[in-house]
Amino acid sequence: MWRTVRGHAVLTVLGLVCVFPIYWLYATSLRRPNDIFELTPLPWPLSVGNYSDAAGKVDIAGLLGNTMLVAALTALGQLLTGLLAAYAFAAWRFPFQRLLFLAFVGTWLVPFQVTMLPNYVLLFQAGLLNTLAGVIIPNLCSALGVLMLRQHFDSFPKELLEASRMDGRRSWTTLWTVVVPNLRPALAALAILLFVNSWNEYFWPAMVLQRSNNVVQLGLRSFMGTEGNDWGPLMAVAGLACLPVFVLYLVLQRHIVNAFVRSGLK
Amino acid sequence: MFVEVPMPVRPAAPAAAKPHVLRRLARAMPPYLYLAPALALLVIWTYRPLVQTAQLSFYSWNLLPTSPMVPMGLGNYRNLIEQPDLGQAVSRTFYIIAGLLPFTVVIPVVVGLLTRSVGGRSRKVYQALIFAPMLVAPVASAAVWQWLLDPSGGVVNRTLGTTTSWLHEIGTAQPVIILITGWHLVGFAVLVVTAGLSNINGDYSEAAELDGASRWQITRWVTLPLLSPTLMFLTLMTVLLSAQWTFPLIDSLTQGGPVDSTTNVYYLLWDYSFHSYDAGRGAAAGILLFLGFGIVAGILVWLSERLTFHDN
Amino acid sequence: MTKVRSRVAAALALAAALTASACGLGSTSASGPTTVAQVPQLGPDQQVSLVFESYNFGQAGAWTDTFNDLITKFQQAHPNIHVKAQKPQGNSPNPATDAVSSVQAQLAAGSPPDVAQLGFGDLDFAIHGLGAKPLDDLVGKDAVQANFNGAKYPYAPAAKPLGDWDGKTYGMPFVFSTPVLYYNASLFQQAGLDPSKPPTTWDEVATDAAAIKNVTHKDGVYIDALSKESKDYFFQALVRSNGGRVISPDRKSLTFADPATVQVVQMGQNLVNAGSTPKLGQVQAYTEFARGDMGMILETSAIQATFVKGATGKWDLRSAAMPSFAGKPAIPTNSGSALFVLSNDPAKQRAAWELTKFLTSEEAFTEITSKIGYLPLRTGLLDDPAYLKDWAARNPLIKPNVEQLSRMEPWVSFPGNSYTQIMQGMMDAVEKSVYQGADPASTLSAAQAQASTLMPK
Repeated sequence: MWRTVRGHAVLTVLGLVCVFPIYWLYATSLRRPNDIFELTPLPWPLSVGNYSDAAGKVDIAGLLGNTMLVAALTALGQLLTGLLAAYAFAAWRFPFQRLLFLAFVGTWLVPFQVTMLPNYVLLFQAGLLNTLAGVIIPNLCSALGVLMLRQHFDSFPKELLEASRMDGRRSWTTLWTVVVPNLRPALAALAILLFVNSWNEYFWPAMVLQRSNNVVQLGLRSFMGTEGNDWGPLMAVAGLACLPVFVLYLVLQRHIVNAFVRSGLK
Repeated sequence: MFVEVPMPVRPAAPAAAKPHVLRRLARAMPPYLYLAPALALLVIWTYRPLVQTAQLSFYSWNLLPTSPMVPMGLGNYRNLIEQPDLGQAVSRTFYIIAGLLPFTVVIPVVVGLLTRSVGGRSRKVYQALIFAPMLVAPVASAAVWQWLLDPSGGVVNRTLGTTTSWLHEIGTAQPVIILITGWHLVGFAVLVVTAGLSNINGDYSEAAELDGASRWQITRWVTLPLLSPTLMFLTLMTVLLSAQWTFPLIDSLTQGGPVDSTTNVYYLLWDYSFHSYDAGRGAAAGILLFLGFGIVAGILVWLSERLTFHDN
Repeated sequence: MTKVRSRVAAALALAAALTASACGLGSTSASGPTTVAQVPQLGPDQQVSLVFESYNFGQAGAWTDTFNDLITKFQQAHPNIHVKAQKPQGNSPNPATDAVSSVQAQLAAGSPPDVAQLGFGDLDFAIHGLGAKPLDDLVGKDAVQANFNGAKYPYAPAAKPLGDWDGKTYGMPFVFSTPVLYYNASLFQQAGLDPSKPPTTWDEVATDAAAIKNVTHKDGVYIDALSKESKDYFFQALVRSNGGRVISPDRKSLTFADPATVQVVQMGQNLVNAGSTPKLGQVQAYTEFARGDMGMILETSAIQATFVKGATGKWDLRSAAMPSFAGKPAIPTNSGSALFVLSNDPAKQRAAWELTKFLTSEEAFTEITSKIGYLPLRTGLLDDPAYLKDWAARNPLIKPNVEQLSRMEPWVSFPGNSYTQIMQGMMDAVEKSVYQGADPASTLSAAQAQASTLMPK
């Protein structure tokens, strides 16, 4: 019994520590602009003053829309390329298989700073600078996606593949009629993970997008730079930059946690 | 690297005669075709730039079409190794790794062990809470921590009654960066450990209990060894990725300062490649980092294959 | 065996393909110096599109708004010139930090912006690295001088040569400030000091700051010139005011470990050790001052709007000239940036010049000064009721800044491709000494020895 109580106590403390900064972020953003420095735990009276102040300085709706588009397309592309590649690794044995697999793992060792400039030049030559396509295309392949899907494929019953082949189905048909339906939960979880990752990305967008701050992380960043420490509106923008991910999290909590945890498990 | 090719999963079609070369080729094609999109993207966006960078690292050049590339041989590398910056950044990176291991390994194991008996719905709620920081965007996290740690208006100083300028003192800036990164990761690591613990077959500890082993003995000699693949994974992740994880925070909160005290290898590389106008130097640093991490990763994987204890 | 060999061959082929795709880096042979001919006037219907890159577009608020407004007005006046305004790429909190690397990246890709706003600290590299075009050759010396003289009010004499190199004008000086000592007169009063007598020497600053700290328990003073973040524009002012230089006049050797500089750094360190200067970053410091929690700050007028906003209705904001070192004249230097033409296309070059003229016109400076707080480089505007006279009467804060313009010296850039590293090495040593208690003399010497290896040979 006391062991359970102790367990609850430990988790409560840890949970509070983890959540407090997030809570404070939203609490500050909802205070009246003059109450920013209050230490009362509850922001009362509530006010959206900080949000309207922030909305007057950056085009929040536009930023969120762009980010949504970029993140969704990136996640979708990564899912597709990852699915095809993982399928190849799982369903066949072929020369250079291990080498090619290592080529995927190896991308983790290549620092972003190394690829930044050459890719920038290439994007320019392709005429994609300053476009959302320029943000998306270089990120269409995620090694993480390939690796995670490969794990799922490994635990996928080989008999199903074999049976499908016996039925005379081509590998392409097998992929879409047998494999994908069976992997749907895993694919959904991975899609969310990739979406969140791409939502939070801001280095590459900062290189590609010049005209204005086109994704929300950049909008937030420019806000941090110039408005100094105008905490209320800053917290409002930061809160909005996280909000879609948190909403997704509230709805799909179990899937998201599973996706992240599994990304770290064999 | 040349790998032995095991028996194909797909048995070759019953060979009436020697199959025609073209048909053999056609049969070998599918996996490559499926790999092609992903592989093309890798080559174009990761390995091509890497090769270019490797070339560039032997020149001194400010990237401008009007000025010539001056061949340097190994000069850029020598220069990097002779100047103290890189060495200092490497040792700071080790410091970060050491500082993060408690968050990614120690605390999660302790919490995981202490909370095994909490189950059901409440467990879900706790999980939801402790995992949330993982989802906070780095820039947003930087913003909120800057606010929490603000010297005069921030909650931390006002609660503690201090006036410390956490991000601008040499002694505190780096620990604060580690703490924030730890905050992002600790919930994630706890969940990983919890998942690892729940995967351990209960038979072992039951058997040990029957043999009269104490709870601590079971933990020490049964549970932890069985958990070792998970722990090894978390360690590997921490070692390889801490410089990357801390990077956005350093970039938004301290820009490597005060006096370089938060400049780790990743940030140094950023500074070299973006704010130095000698591309060769930045390129050489990038290649060194790539090789260095490659070697470390190789060693760690090799170690983990030897040290971890497998269930089956 | 054959299998292995074919695999080796395949691997080699792959490697070769990778290498081949890596071509197109650069050339190892130098191209000759570009000759710049005078560019023809634009025809009345000749359509030109122009890319203008300025860090002001990366800063939300007054900066972006003012500049968007100016560009709109320019397009109305020149319907045949289409201006695409953009901010530098990169994500530094202060977009000005990214100005040069952004232009460099675009040059590497082969499409630099046509007009770029670059800092005076980048002057050497802008000319010798980025290939900024000499305006004197582009449009003729007379036209450049005519622009300096203006429609009505000429540039202040000290502002004119800031973008010059070897007798030619490359950059049209645009926006800058001199170091201004802003102070909180309300805190002065509370501390028993006379708010009408701000300190004029650094010794007095130390005394007053200590008084503020001791009586009001607020912070005393912050000199925004002594850390890497602050860059070196106002640090050079301090060094010059104490009779030193950071680089020799012939630009061959670094001199920032000389005793004159060491004394400056020592002064800063003493303020920190005495508890009069808080250990804060740039942004934190100026927000603290704006909040009314600090006695004095040496700052650029680009931040003035923030101070005014924070002080209005709460405390009494005033400004004074940069203090001097006892017995020596204070020599202010400038911060800020100039407009450079980078385009190689004659039509765009001409359009770029039109834009440059417009942005440095009487009308433009009136807007820039009144909305952002930078100095009007055409100082006569301040006395003309049609322009800034009313504004100046309402904003006495600008007075010391304008007055300092007459005895200002240029912010000197460092030479070579590694000029930023040299500057950063210097400021790192300064920061280490001032805020972290390192010994100024030995720290600066070590940094100077280190940075000297980065000087062009």
